[in-house]
Amino acid sequence: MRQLRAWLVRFGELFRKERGDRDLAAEMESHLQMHIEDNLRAGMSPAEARRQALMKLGGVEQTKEIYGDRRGLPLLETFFQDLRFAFRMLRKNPGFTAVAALTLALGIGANTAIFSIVNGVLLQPLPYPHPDQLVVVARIAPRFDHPVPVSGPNFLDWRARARQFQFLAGFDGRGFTVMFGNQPENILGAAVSPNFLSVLQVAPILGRNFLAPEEHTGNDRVALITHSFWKERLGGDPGWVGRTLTINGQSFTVVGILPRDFRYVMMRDAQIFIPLNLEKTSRGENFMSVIGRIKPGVSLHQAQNEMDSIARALEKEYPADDAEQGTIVIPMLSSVGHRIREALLIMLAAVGLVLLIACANVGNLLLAQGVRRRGEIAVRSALGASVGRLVRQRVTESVLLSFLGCALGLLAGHLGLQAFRVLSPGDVPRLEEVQINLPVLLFSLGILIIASILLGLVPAARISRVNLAECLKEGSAHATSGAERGLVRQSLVVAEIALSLVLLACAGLAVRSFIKLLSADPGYDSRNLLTFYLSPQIRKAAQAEDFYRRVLERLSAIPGVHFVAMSHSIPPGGEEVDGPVITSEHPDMDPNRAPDIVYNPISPNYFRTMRLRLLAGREFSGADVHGVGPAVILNEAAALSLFPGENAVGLRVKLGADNLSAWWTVVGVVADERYFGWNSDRSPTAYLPVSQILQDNMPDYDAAIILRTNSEPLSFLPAVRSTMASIDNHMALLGPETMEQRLGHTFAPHRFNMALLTAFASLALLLAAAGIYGVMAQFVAQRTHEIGIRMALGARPLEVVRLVLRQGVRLALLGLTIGIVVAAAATRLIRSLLYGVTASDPLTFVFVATFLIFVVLLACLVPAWRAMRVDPIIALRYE
Amino acid sequence: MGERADVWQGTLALMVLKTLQALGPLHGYGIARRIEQTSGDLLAVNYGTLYPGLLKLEQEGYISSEWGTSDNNRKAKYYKLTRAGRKQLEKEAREWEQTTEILARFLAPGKESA
Repeated sequence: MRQLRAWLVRFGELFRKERGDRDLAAEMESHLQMHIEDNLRAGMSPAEARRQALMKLGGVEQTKEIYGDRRGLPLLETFFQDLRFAFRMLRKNPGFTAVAALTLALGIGANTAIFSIVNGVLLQPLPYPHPDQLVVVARIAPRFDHPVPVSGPNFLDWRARARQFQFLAGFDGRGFTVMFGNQPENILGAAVSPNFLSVLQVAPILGRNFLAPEEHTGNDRVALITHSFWKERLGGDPGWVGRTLTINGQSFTVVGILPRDFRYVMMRDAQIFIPLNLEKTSRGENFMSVIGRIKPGVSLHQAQNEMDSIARALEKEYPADDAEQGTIVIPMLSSVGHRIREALLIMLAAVGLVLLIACANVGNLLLAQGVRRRGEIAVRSALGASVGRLVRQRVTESVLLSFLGCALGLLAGHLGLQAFRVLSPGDVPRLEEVQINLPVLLFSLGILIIASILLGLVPAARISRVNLAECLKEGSAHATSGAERGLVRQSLVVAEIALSLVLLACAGLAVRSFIKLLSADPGYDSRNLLTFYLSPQIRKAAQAEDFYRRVLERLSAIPGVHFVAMSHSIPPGGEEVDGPVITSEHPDMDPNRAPDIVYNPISPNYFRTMRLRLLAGREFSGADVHGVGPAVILNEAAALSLFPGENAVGLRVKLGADNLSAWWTVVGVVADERYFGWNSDRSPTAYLPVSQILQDNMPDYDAAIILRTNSEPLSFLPAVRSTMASIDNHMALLGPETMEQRLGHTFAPHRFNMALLTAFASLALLLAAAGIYGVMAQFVAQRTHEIGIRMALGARPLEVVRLVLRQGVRLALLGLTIGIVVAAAATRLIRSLLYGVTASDPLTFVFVATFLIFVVLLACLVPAWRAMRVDPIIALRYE
Repeated sequence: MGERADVWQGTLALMVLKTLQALGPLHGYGIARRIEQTSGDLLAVNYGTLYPGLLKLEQEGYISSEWGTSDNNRKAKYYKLTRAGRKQLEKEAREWEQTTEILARFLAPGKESA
């Protein structure tokens, strides 16, 4: 207790130091006077009385020192003292301070920005109550190595049987055609089970939630809309609850409006929700996703076990559709960030390297400064400062510097985040939730602490080895002599070069991938193609056939349009339908083990429109209709994998889970269309004549329309729109874009990765170049004398330049060697971001290594130039 | 001047407390003089020992101080014992007596060993 009280008093004393000092001085003065008076009374002479008193009482200053230490908290006081001194030092060297703080700011800023994204997208809990209970339930089949959609009847069985879940809800993302007056427009939305909002534990702010019977025909013409759709598209009138919207040609009653900040993380652009009616779906038709909320206290493992046993039971009950189909329960959080996780973690690693380089650079600056300040340090230690005290002083300085860098870094991070929002490829989930919040600040603080320790210890370690006498003696300009002193700095530079090479190699590979991607031949002519989707609200095959016939006829009558084709999907990453394929060579194969093939129903002139080359056989014609022998055209990849070494034309295949009864004859083989994605292209594809597969009661009759035009495709849009309005004025063109724009979207993530990696690598290179410049400049400064002697002895300027460059190149080569070894291992981690190049692409490695050497030489040039200009007379006079 | 020992910190606190108990409020010089006299001039008290010692006692709350005027009209800081100080004095005195007693038994001409 007493101890505590004493500490508190001492802490208080910190703030009234001056008064305490005056008090003590007065007290000691009065003490001295009383002593002298007593001595006088004892009969001494005044001078003797004073001398005796002073002798007896000891040193006044010393007492003040001891007294001061006891009164306050010396540790804290010296800290403040150090801080004040550090401020003065930083202010005195504005150049050094600016460069060091900015370097740190870049490193910390990049880390803050990337980590805030990692945190917002991958780590932060989902924005719903009890987010840890939220899961995605999906199907896994042996033919796929990733979770795949679920069929309606299977979902209904899951929902009826699962006991470990509070709710299970189906979800099917859709594009709706919504009428705004007479104007049809494409709005993204979804069909969801009525308990969808209960899963997320969200309630409408106006109106009501869906009711359970509303998933059945007759009750299902109701809709929930988002707050932003209500405000921005409908004017925000509260009277909208109860009014109707025309969606896909039908009237839907708006029953509720969702909260302002509500977003469905699995589909952030969804604006309209309607009930998901599963009455007409079949068990083999897998199209929807399922989300769920597990009961409190139930573990993921228990939920998974229950789903496993349900799946086994369904397998027995429906062997035709559910054989060998497992389920998987995934936390919704990891499912949301799944696609972008790897790219984000790679970026985080990349900025981590940038930070290391930044620290190495600032460490180098501090070392250089330490060399310049050896005189000062020597004087201070001669005046009695202990090594510990000096180290504390330097560490305080680097902590202050780090704080400065961190403050600027947070600012830079904020700006970086804004830039990321603008430049991001638009498919980053939860981007609106990303912000610089407490966890991010803590992360930056962690970086700050690590950086300060790294930065503080390096120069501090030097202090303890400073030889006092030598330093004081050297005091003048040519202070250093030992080669040993440069060793730490040189190793730092070698490390910087090595790390930069790693980043450069990654960036180089990303750039090469992107170039490969741009120059890759998609197999068709992507210029002058206009594409869009149509979603006619038709229920009968005959109607659909009639509708599309008219569309193709009228559109091809537009002047300047060469060909018009329809197709189920548009090449780059369109909505693919795939299923098993069985060949006439192996007719008894189990469909669940059969290879997978994409099938694309098309109109006869599809290949002509796309300018896709026919390799063998014939194209479809108007004669390939219902009742005639089913015909199929394979792409090259399918022909090669299904019928290796054979001419596929004339052979037969069975296609898809539902159509396994019929044999389709291969009538032709076409070149591959490339589906650019993260990892897939050249998917084996079967093209079917659309007129042979149309049947009644298909889930929808949506299709893509592709026009081959003679000039800029977008200029045909008005004509296309008016033609479409003449056929059906409730029909919106869904996502009209040129084929090149569509290709651009698939390039966007690659472009973005490339841009980020290149930015980080450039930053690293810049820092490394600055680092090697600093070391070489010091090298020349240290050797001015030596160079002077060499020149006096007849060395040519060129030889001097070579001396400097050789030193630089030596460091660079060492760094390169280490860097290449590390990069060879590191680039394997970014394989998933690459396209068309291997992780150890020699061309890239050679190029970035050469480039790095070039930059290093450039950084050495100024010091070399300075060395060449050394005047031997002046250099020698230094002695 | 002979072998005048510097007073050592642990015992100084006890001496100061005892002095203040015996003489009432007193200034630093008075305390120093009293300790030296009581020790028969065997101890010497200088600034460097006295004032940090007084400060420590004050911070711990055993003594308090205020400025006053001395007999011959000189401004001086007077220290006086607090209630906590009185208790502390009793406690420390007791402990000290015990310690000396124990040591005395050890150092007394060895009856047992004889």
